[in-house]
Amino acid sequence: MMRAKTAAAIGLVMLALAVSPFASPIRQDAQREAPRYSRIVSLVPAVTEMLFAMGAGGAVAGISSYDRYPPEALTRPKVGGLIDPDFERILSLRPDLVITYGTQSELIDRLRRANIGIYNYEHAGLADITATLRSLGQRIGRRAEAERLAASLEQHLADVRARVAGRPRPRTALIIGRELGTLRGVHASAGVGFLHDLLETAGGIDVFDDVKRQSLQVSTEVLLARAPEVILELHPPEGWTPEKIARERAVWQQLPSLPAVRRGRIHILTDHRLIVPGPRVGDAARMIADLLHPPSLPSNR
Amino acid sequence: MLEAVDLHFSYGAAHRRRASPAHAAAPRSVVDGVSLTIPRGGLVGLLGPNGSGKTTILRLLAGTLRPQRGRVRLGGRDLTVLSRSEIARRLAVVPQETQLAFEYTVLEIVLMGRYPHLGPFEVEGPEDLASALRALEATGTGDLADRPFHTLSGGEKQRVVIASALAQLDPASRHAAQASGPDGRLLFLDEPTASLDLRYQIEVAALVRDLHARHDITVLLSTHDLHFARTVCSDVVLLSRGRVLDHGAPDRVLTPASLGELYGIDPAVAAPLLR
Amino acid sequence: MSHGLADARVLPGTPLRRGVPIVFLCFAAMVIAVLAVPFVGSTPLQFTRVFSRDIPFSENVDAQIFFVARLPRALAAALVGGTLAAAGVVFQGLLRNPLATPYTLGISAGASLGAMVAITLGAALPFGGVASASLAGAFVAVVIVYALARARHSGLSTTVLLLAGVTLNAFFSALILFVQYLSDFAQTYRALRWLMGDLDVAGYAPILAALPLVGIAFAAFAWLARPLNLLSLGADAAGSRGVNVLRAQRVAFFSASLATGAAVSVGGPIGFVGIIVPHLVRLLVGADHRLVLPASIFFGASFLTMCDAVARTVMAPLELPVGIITAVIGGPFFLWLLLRQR
Repeated sequence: MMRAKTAAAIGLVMLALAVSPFASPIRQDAQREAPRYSRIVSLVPAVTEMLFAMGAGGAVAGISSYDRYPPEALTRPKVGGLIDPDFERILSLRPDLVITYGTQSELIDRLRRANIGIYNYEHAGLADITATLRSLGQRIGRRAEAERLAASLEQHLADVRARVAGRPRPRTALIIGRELGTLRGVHASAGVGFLHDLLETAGGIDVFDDVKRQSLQVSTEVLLARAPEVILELHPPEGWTPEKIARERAVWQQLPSLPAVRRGRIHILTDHRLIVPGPRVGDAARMIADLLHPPSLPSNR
Repeated sequence: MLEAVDLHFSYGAAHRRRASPAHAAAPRSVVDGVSLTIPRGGLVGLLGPNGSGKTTILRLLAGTLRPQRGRVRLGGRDLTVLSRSEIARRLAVVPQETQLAFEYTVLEIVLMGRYPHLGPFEVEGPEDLASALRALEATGTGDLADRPFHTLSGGEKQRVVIASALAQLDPASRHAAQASGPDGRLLFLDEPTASLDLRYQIEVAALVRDLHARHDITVLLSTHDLHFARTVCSDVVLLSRGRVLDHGAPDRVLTPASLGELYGIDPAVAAPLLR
Repeated sequence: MSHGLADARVLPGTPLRRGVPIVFLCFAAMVIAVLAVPFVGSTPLQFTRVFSRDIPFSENVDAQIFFVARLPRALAAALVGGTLAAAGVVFQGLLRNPLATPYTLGISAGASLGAMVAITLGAALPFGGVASASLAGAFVAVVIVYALARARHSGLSTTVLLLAGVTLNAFFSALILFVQYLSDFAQTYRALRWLMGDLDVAGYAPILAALPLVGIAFAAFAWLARPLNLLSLGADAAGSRGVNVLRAQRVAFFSASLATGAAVSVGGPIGFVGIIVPHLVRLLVGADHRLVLPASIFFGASFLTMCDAVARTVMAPLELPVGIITAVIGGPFFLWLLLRQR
């Protein structure tokens, strides 16, 4: 009799121990170190980079279909992205934490019902990148590494700002999309978002700053009226050969009165670091700063 | 003047023949071996129940449909060798009802009848306008010229369409070569009084007789109206299930027996209709 | 019953002649619109600077805005507006229905599908971009609709045309949704913007490319004007007056489809022009296609040019898609039409 009771008691305790990780509700602001996660699925490429950068790459069990960095991440299974997350695949990886976009309300609902931990990523400005690094680090129990990364990034950005301080700031159009081969359907960053913040950090002025939108479809007339001095075009890296870059740069010759066209300051950028608001944005800021303020020029013109 | 020889026609026959050649001979013919002659100056009535093929025969004789077998000759010439314009200058059709897609005026519709007399980019000239005015006068619709067609009564609409047909047949033209010769003109009417009130039935009937008598127009019409057939037509053709039952002068052809056979009724019932 | 028909008071001339002054008025309106509208916009222009010869063109912002941004746009709007209006008239005549539009028979659905595929596959296509792809899509739609309409009849049944067009619209719309589903976020956004219509052609090349197609279509329309009048009476009635009905229907179908395809390839599927303008023009000049067609071209050109000027000015630097302006005008217009007929 005694043995059966002991066995039952031990069984219960073991059961309780086994179940306890699954029983924890979402507490993003836990005071003490939150439990570590060993199977993280990330739908957000920026966060995937952050996880690997703070040394938690081993815990990453699944990534989004749009991840491209770091190379080790690409060995993990892909589970979709912002518009098309594959819930079944996510479940099949038995995650204990899923990084989702804040707008994926349906997915978040289903994960909650399945009692899987969630970290909501909100996409915003440059400053939020370091904030996300810190809160993520706290959540997964890598506070020290996250703090180091965040501080290093902030330092990097401060260095860039310092380098360009005092220089005249060129009026820049940051083009995030257009119909290739033509100047139709041109979309530009317009005063809000991390790209805009990068531009400001790198010592440039967003020529559409007053509009205060993440993106704006710009007509030819508006481009001519705003007369940017520098044009930065961002494109995903796939399929861009030097010939294609030269061709697309030449398309801007349709508007010869733009100062950027007259001075040849049209840059087509296909580096992945520029489109992911993750730990490598410091590099992105430096790249843009170098384009806007070529280091060969003396600092006060 | 218009001669039809051994006409055969069935809708969809061409399609069926492609599908199954073996059954090509078997389809139900709407017109099954019809031969008839419309003499110059005649006023011929086609009489028969619905489904007997009256409308189809009108369309075959007008050249709108091509028969699967048989020929139609206008003034001795086969319809298939005449151009559409040549046929249209001598043969006009008045349908039972006219539905317009857009709001044309009476004069515009009558002027449309001048189409076969004009080249592809020619605009109507004074002769065409005069022809239209004559047609309006002949049908008593002169003061309706600027009215939109859809505002007219049923009888007025029918008279306007007849005026349009008259303008079409009017030989006056700036092209001497096109002026139709002495062969006469044909007017087809598909159940001209069927959808009209009694008053308009009488009006249109009188108009048709008048046109035939005074304007030397040969008329072929299909009708249900026995009284009209007896009193107005010079010849009557009885049609039953795509075949000609009899044709000739109304007094001889329209008998209780023939009506009984035509409509599937007891001759005794038909007799009072002929009194 | 005749009342002095020889009297000149009643009929001063054929109805055709009476409508000609209004056609000229519409032409004048078009010319004025195209010349004046480039001076209107969110950036004020100085007339003297625009035409000044002292400043080299590549430095003259005013001249650049006028000649590179606004004038091509006004010309494109005139071209697309006039073409869609005329195509609307021809389709209404062909289908004998004043509610028909250039998009009823599925041509714009085909053009849209072509554009979607180009936007999604993007770099994969070797040939010239979204405009050519949309033209190709329109062509496919035309071929399918025509084949369907001819399958069961030796003639060209307008009922079957209509059914084929409606079916094709539904089918292609489903395919468009499918292609959008496959595309990523940026492509979906670009595709949606294309569907809303965009006349910012940024140069004369798209206009020149579409011009030969529109020219052929308009030549066909000139020939079609009178046969369309007669077709309004019915296919049989037209045939008995000497019209080659099958040929007229074929010419109408293909020329109006060509015109629609060309217009959509330049500016996207802009709605309401193809139905508002024919209606308004008929109210002004009557139903004779020899007046309605040219008047619709001129009126449609003026109309869309002005709508586009509003679209690019009203919320600058944001641009309203021009299709929204035409819809905002078109919706109440239709209500008014409906109420008026009661």
